[in-house]
Amino acid sequence: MYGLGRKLFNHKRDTISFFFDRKFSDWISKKIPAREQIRLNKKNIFILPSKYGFVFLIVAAAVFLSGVNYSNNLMLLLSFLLISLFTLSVVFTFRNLSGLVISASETEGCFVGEQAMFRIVVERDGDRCYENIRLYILDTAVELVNLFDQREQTVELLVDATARGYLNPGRITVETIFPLGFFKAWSWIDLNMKALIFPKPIECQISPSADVKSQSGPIANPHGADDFYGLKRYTPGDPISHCCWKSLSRGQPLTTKEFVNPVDSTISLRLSDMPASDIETKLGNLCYWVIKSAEQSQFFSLDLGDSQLTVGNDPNHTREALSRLAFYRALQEESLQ
Amino acid sequence: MKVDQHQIPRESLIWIIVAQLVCVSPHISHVPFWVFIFSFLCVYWRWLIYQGRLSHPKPRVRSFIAVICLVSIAVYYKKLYSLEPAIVLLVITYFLKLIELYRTKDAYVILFLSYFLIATEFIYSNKIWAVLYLAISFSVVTGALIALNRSHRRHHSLDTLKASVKLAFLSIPFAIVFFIFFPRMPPLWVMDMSPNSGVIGLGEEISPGDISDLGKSSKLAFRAEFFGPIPSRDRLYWRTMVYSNFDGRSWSKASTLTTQSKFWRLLMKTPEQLSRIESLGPDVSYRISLEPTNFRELVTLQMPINFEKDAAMLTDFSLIVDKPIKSFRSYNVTSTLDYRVEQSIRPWVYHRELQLPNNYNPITRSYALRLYETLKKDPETMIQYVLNKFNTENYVYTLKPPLMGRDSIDDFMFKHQRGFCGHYASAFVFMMRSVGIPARVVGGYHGGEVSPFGNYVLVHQFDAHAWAEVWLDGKGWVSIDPTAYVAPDRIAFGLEDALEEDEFLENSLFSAVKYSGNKYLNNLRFSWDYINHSWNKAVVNYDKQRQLEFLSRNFGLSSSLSMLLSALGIILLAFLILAVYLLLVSKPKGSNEIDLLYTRWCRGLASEALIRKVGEGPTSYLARIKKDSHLDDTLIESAEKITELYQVIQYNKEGLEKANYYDNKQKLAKLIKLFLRKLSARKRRKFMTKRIF
Repeated sequence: MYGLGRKLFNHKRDTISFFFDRKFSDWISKKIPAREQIRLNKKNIFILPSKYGFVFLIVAAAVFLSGVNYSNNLMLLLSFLLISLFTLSVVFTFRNLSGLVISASETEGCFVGEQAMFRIVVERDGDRCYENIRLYILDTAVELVNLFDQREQTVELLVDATARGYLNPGRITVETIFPLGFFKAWSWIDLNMKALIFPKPIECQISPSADVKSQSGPIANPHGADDFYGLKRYTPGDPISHCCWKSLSRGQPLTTKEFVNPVDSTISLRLSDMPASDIETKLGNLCYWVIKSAEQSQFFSLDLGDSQLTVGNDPNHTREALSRLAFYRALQEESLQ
Repeated sequence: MKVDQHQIPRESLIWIIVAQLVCVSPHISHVPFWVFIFSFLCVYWRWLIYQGRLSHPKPRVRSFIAVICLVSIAVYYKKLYSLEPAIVLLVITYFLKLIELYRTKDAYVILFLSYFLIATEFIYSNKIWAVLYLAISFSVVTGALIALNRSHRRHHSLDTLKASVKLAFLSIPFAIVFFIFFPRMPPLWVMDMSPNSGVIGLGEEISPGDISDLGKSSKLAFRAEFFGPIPSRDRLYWRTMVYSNFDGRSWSKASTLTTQSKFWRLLMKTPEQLSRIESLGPDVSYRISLEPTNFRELVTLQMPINFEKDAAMLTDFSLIVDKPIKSFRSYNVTSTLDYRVEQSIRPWVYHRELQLPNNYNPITRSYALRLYETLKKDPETMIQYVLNKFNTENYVYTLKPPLMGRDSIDDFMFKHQRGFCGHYASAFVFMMRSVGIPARVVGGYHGGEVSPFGNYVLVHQFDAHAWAEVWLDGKGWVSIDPTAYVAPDRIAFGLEDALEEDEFLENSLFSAVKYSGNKYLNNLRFSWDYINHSWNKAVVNYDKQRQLEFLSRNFGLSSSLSMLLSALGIILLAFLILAVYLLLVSKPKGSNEIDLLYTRWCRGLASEALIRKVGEGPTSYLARIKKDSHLDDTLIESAEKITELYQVIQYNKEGLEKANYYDNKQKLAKLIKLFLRKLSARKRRKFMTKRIF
């Protein structure tokens, strides 16, 4: 959140720049408060000459000076035209941003080390065309928006996930220099978006079999892979490696072999059992095992010390387990509430 | 869509090349040809790069080319610090940059240079067509800038051109206000760099044949706008240069000005010199708009008695300014047509106007001496006799005099007897000097065409003329035109009538002046000239003084500060109006008022974390509101109403009567207002409870 201010003022995090960061951040969040949908207008658009704008002014001044020195009125006229063009481009650049409605769409979480995706919808209010609008967050790749025939365009911004928990991408920069490049109009908007970041899965060798508990009742998971269960009629979509080609060769209809996981092998995953020494690696190990269990449709329970999750194996259960890992003694408390 | 933001769009390259070619096109006339070949090679090279058939030059190759260019400029021009080499250097850099055009930055450099190149063209031409060039090149360069900033491939170049023309058109009123009001200032420093164009005109030295060369040119020399009635044609002697020195073959000015301090001394002595002119008749006031001449002399009717303060009067009563006139210049003069000048001649002037080389033209000299003897040494009788001789004997006035030998005046007087005004003036002055009468040759123009539009006279180069001045005791300098006795038509009607058939402007077949017999063409020519004259008056010559006149008369502005402030004031006002118009008035046309109402409602709900998804219909949005929101029943109920009403109005437009439509619209507006008010009240309440607990 303070990143933008830091980028603006100083990269070093000394006390003074930190002070300015805070000031800047407070100011900007007061001026452009976080909202899911923002309409760009004079309240939240900033506009200043770009570096090319300054160079252009120097050219205009050079033409003006030659006009004065040669007492040449046509040169003066040209320099006045250049200055008028410069002035007009303020309005046109501003117009190319004003009236846009930017709203948050869905986000896609990821694991630490990957990139979380934030989907943003840029919509126009009216039939004016918008051109060459750039959207980015800090150092992410720039996405371009052009609205001519279509009313809206969706852009996806990818942000590096560095820590588990909720990832707040910070302020999104929406900027444009169209049509002439003399001015840059921009806005720093906060769409209140956040993406859930899970710990990075770290492979490890524990033997969860030690914790296998016997379970009452033969619950079969029909989509397992370990033990052969029987044959069923082929339905499109069945894995081709499971097809029973032998029976086909005997002239019978195509059948598929079914496998099941033995239900009695339920894994209990405990934080304290993880081999690593520091907590983040331990969470990474747990994450690895949660994913592995989910892939194999293995029933598992999760014990994080502070919180427990009972046995289960459906996708919701897995998701719950992963988010508990993500939020374990959450790093960003403010993003949790 | 991800792109490298520094890469230039491929389409814009074509724009840049076109802009370059447009900007450089008028420079063809004053830039050597090899520069153009070089430029086209650069364009071709860039085109090959564009097609992927060639690569960008390596830095070593680039600097090699740059050095070659610099050396060729130095060799071609001998010196680098003057205008032509500077412009050639600009053009070469401009095109060299093209082959090292990789990034947006380079493109900006080229396009900004383009604007500067447009400006340099105006050093050479201030003609009215320059505006056309300004308009076209300005639009194209601006178009190239727009193309550079576009990222969408859908675009047609025509769209870009339209956008740039629109921008250019909007800039024009602002520029004009600036032009009128922005206070003009004197040059900040002296620019030595001025163009050396091949100007045709009078020279500092003439041999008799020179003026006949001028007689073949139909170029405009100057215009003179009279503030009163235009004097009759036979009085329009435009005195420009006075030639007092004769070396046997050619005449030259008495002194050539070399230093600036000499000029200042002359400027100081000007009032003293002016006091030697005694005006006898009515004065004539006029304004001369002089085309570039490359010399310092100002053109005036003889004799000037009142002129601008920066002109100095020489001892021969010609006017000069401090620098050669290399660009369009205009000035006010008052002249007296009847005068008595220098009645008491100073001895050194007397001697200057008598000097003759001894060993030239012996026949004419002895003839003159003998004649003077027989006429009892009376100067006036002598003058009359010689003029009569030109008139009655077989002397021919022609643009094509035969080649004269070493003693050119002897050859002219007694062998060929054919010549142009320069020959007659020169022979006349020679004879006067031979017998001890001070005399000199005066060069300038005679007559001119009176334009049917406006009170002004057009004087062309073919109106160039030479006549004589003789000093007579008691009368001072008297102007005598021997040509008037040889070819009276020349003085009464002009060169065309004085010459033999087809001699007039025989080398310029397409000159409009040549066809002045055609009434329709002639009128067209005069109207075109009138446009040019007005253009010069209004734009080219809108200097400090004119600006002050114009603004104080029309706007009551008399100081630079007030001009500047009013310029900025008007600009600011216009800018605000335009901004308000562009940003507020040109409201969305596409979405109708019902849609707008509905969107406002959706936006209100968005603060409740209920954003209407893209493409979500009103019904499914309502369903989601019901399901997800924590709104109370009354709000849900009114949300239902709003959605229903919106759909009724929006999708049943034809079914609704007009009056009905308005009623429904009002109803919807009211409902939405109520809803939003309740919503915000609720939010406030929630906030309060949060604060309490």
